[in-house]
Amino acid sequence: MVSVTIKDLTKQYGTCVAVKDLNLEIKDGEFFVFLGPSGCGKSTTLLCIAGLVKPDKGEVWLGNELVTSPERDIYMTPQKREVAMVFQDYALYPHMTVFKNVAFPLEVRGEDKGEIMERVKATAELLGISQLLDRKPGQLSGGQRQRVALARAMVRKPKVFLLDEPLANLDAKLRVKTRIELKKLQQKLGVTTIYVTHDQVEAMTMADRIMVQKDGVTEQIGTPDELYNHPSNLFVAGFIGSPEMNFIDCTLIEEGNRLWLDAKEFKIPVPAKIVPELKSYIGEDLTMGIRPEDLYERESVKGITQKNALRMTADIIEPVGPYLLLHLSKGRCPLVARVKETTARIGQEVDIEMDLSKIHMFDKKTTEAII
Amino acid sequence: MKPLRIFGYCILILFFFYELFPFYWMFNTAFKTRAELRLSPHVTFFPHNPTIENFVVVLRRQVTAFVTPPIMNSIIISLVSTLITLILSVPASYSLARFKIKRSDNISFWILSQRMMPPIALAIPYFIMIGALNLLDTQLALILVYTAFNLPFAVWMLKAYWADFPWVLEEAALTDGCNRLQSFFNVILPLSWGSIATVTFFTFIFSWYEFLFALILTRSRATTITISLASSILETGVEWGWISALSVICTIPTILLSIFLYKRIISGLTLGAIKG
Repeated sequence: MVSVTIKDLTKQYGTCVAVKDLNLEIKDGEFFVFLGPSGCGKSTTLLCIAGLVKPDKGEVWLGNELVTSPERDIYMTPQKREVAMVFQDYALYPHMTVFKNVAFPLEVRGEDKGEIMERVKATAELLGISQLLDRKPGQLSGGQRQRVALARAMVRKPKVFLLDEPLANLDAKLRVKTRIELKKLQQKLGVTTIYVTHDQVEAMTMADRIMVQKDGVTEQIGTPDELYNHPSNLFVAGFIGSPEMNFIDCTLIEEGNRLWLDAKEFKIPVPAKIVPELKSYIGEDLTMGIRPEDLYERESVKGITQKNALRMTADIIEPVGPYLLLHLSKGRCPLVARVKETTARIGQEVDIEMDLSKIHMFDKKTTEAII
Repeated sequence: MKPLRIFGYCILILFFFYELFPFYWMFNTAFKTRAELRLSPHVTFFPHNPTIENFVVVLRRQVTAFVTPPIMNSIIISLVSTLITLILSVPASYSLARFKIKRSDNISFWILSQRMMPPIALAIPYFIMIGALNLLDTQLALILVYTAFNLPFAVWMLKAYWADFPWVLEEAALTDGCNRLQSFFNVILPLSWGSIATVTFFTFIFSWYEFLFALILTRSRATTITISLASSILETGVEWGWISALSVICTIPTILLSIFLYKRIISGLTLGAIKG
């Protein structure tokens, strides 16, 4: 088990920049997630760590060992890196049995036969695939293949686990189940794990820390809580959370000794607590963000510290089981509220309260968070 | 049964006879006596007095009429040229498909261009080159020429297969601790036997049945089985019995090879269909 350090990593494919100036330190034993939409460079970063892709510049350190540095002409082959990888479509060897697949990394290293047998059996037992050892990958279900791929990665006790969207090919139910098992397994083994996904729920539920990437650039690195409650820009705020955060374009104005956020359709008073941070933005265009769960129907409001009512029209009511999603609009401004119950009917007007202590403010030009 | 289906079967049966009739006629003729072939006023569909005389004669002629038995020459030349073709084409096509090589498309096209000329256009240059190397009428001459002729086909066939290969398997092997060579032999090669078998089959068949270069580049020591077939046309007439018997002998290795490689060839023809 080692830490992983990345310094100024850049990788370009032709004119397309896959990763740009990435700096990152993953702690020993940490469960770290690379999160971002398709093509954001997360898989390329992972492949650079594995040694399967050579970066154009920058350094990759595994513990105290420099394994990649084009500037210093250092490149350690994947074979010698002691990292194990689980691929999105598992990449099991179709011509080998499950036993052979799991034993393969040990056989390549020339381990003793008895030792191989023992370790494969122990790993198979841990992952519940002992009864599948004689089968070929073609005879397994998606979930079983995924376990075999994990077993193959685990059997040789690597320093770092690299997981490239390992749950993407599983059905929704199995994905949730495997997510929990994977997290438990990682805690039990304590191996530094880097996990790539585009699914923010997976990232939020499993990660110790998350790096959000977009177009090859790091948007934010932080714990799930930091990313959710203190997003550093509009992209992260919109990407994390389901349903996503509501954004309202507005102008900061001063009227009657008070600051207001003027969204044309309505005006919202700026809470006193954030006035100092916003004062320098008077007259400028800002984006206000508020999460759906911080919007309430007036009838059900309890214990909100700072509130402000908006009269909006209910367009759609989506029942999602434990809660309802109210799709509301006022003029051209749409909002989504997550409520437990509602008296609203489609097409009717409804009074919505906003928990102003939970609002996020972004500079519209730079998209960076102000508070 | 629907009329369309009946029509389909009729076409298939016709095609079946059309394809297999020459084979049937070859076997029919091979077992006929010389008298039946020459003297019978009617065409006979089965040998009246089946005999293996023709086989005995042509096999004896292999030893008596030539310096080295042509059948031996053919076996050696075809096997060695097929082997060299595979040894060269497998790594060449893998490299062209797998690595980003400067001007790799041009290299591939250049390789293919070797097959664009009709063989007869190459015959004289080959004759002069082989002559200059003092290799006329040697097995090595034909091995070199057949290998040069088969390589483009083999490289392109395997390159097409590897273009669709799931390379993530190689990446998995590399992270599992293999070097490139180990991953090639442990993972890529075992999954590619189908295509390699197909290439082996076609390469062998080409070398085995080749006539033009064998005719031009050999005289007596390195003549192949196809040349010995043609030598059954004597001044006294065409010995159809000999030709048929030798043709039967000539087809045996290809039939055996196709039986042996059948399953792999079928999987090789559905190129790239690897499922995990």
